[in-house]
Amino acid sequence: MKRRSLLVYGGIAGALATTGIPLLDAFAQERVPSDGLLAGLSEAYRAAQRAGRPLLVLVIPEDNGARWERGSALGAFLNHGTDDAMTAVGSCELTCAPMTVLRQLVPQAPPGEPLLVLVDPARVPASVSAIDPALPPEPPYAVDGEDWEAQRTREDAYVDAQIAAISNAVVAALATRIAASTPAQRTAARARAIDTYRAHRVRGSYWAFSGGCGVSVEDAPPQLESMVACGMGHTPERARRFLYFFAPSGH
Amino acid sequence: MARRTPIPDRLRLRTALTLACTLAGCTGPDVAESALFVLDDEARAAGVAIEISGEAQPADGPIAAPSSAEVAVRRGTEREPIDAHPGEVIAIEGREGRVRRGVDAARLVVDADREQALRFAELGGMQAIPLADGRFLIDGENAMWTALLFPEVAGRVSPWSPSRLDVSNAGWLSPNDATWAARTTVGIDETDVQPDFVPSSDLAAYVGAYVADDLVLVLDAQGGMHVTGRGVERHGTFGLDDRAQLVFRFENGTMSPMRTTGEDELRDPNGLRFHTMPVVTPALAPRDPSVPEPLGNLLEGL
Repeated sequence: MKRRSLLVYGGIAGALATTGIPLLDAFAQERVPSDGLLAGLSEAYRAAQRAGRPLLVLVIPEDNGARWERGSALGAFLNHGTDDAMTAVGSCELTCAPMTVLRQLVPQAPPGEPLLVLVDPARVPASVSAIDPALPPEPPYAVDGEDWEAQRTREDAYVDAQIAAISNAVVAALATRIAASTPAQRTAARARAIDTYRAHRVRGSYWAFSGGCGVSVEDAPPQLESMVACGMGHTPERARRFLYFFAPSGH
Repeated sequence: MARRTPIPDRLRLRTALTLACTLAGCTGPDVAESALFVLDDEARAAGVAIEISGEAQPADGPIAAPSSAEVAVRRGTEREPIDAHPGEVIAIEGREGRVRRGVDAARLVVDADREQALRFAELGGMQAIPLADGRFLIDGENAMWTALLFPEVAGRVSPWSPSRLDVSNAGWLSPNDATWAARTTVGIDETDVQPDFVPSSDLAAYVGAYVADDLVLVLDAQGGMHVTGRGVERHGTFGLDDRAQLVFRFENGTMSPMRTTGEDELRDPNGLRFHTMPVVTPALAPRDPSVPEPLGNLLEGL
C-alpha cells in the first residue's frame, strides 16, 4: 500500500511536477549498483541450493512508486501472514531482486514483473515459476461522509485482503513441498521464517517503519533513521512495517 | 581434478635455505635493496635491454638491480633512466619496451617444456599451469626471486600480464585452448586447496556470480556461462566432464576446465581466481540538502 503520507499530498505532488521539484526522487529507495543486487541474489541462490530449499524472490519493480506499493504489501505479508504461509516462507531462501537482475542469473525467469518468483535451484536448468496473485484494488483515500473509524476499518480490510491473497498464493505454490515435510519440519520452517525474515533484513531490502509520519529504516545509523518529514497521513497498522527495497542505480 | 605432484623435501629445503640466505644478504643480490626487471619475448626480440651502470644485462631471466645503481631501459639508441624502488618488480614489454610497474612477483611465464616447468615449479612449491601458447604460468610466492636464483632451471622468463586475458592471446579464452586438458597431465600442485575441500559433482552448486579483478563471471541457472569486463564479453555453457570436473564450453566450441579450489572459488587454467561476488549492503546516505524536503517544505508553504 502506498504510504499514506504520500497520498495526502498526491495532488500537490502532481502540481509540483511542473515546478521541477523531484518529489519521487526524494523518496527513491536506496540505490545500489546492479552488481550489488546480483551479488545478493547469487548469495541467496547458492545458499538455497546448498540447503536444498527453493529460492523465493520478492520482485523489486522498476518503477519507484510501485516499489513502495510492493514493499508495503510484501512487508505486511511477512509480518502478518498466516501460519501456513510462514511455514512456506521458512522452507525457502528469500531475497529481493529486480527482474533485470534475476534474469542475469535465471534467464528462464517469467516475463513481466510478477510479485514473486519461485526457483528450484536443485538442478540445472532450474525450474522457475511466477507467483503473481491478483491483489485487491487500492481503496479510495477518503469517502464522503465516512468517519475516521470507518476509514481505518476499510483500510485494514484492504491490507488484510492483500495479506490473504499473497498468503494463499505462496502456500499453493509450495503446497507439495510442505505436504511432504514432517510436522517438526513445518514447525521449524515457521520459526525460521519469523526468526530469519521477520527479525532480520531480507537480502535486497531494509525493514522500515512508517506510521504515516516519516519513515524510519531499521538498522540505519540513528542520524539517518528519519527519512522524510512528517505529513498528515496515516498508515494502517499491519502495513506500517514494510520492505524498503534497494533500487538499482540508474533507475 | 588434476593430480597432485609431490614436491621433494630436499628441493623445498634447498629453496627455503637459499631464499633465506639471500634475504639475509649472505650471497647473491640483496633482495631488500634490489629491484627486479623482466623482459617479455617481444622486447627481447626487438633488442630492448636493461642497463645497470651502463652495462647491458643478459635478458633471459629476471635482472636484479641494486637501488644504488643507475638503471636504464635501452631501446636502440634511446636510453630511458628508471628510478626503481627496492623490492619492486618491473616488466619491460613489447617491441617498444614499455615499462610496467607493480608486476606480481608471485607469477611469471616460462618458455619451457613441461618437465622443465615442473622442475622449476617444484623448487619453490609453486604451480606450473599450462598456457594456450604452450608455455607455462608459474604461480607461487617468490616465483620471480626463485627464477633469479635458479636461472638454469627457469630458462627464459617473461612477466605475467593481466592483459593475457585479451581475447587474442588469452589462455582459457583462447580458441586454441582445446588441448589444455590433455596437457594438464603435468600435474598441478594444489597446495592452495582448502583443507578437506571436495569439489561438488553437482552442477547446480556452481550457479552464481563470480568476480576476478574487474571480470564478472555468471554461471546461470540455465547452464549458461557469461564473462564480461575488461573489454571482454564471452558466452557459452558450463557442465561437468566425465571426471565430474567443471568445464566451460565457449560459443566457438572450445572447452576449458576450471579448478574448484574452495566452496566459493573457481580457478581458470591461467591461474585467474574467481571468487563469489561479494555482497554489498548499501549504507543509507544522508539526504542531499540541496534536494527539497517535499512534505516538510510543503507544510511550511501551505
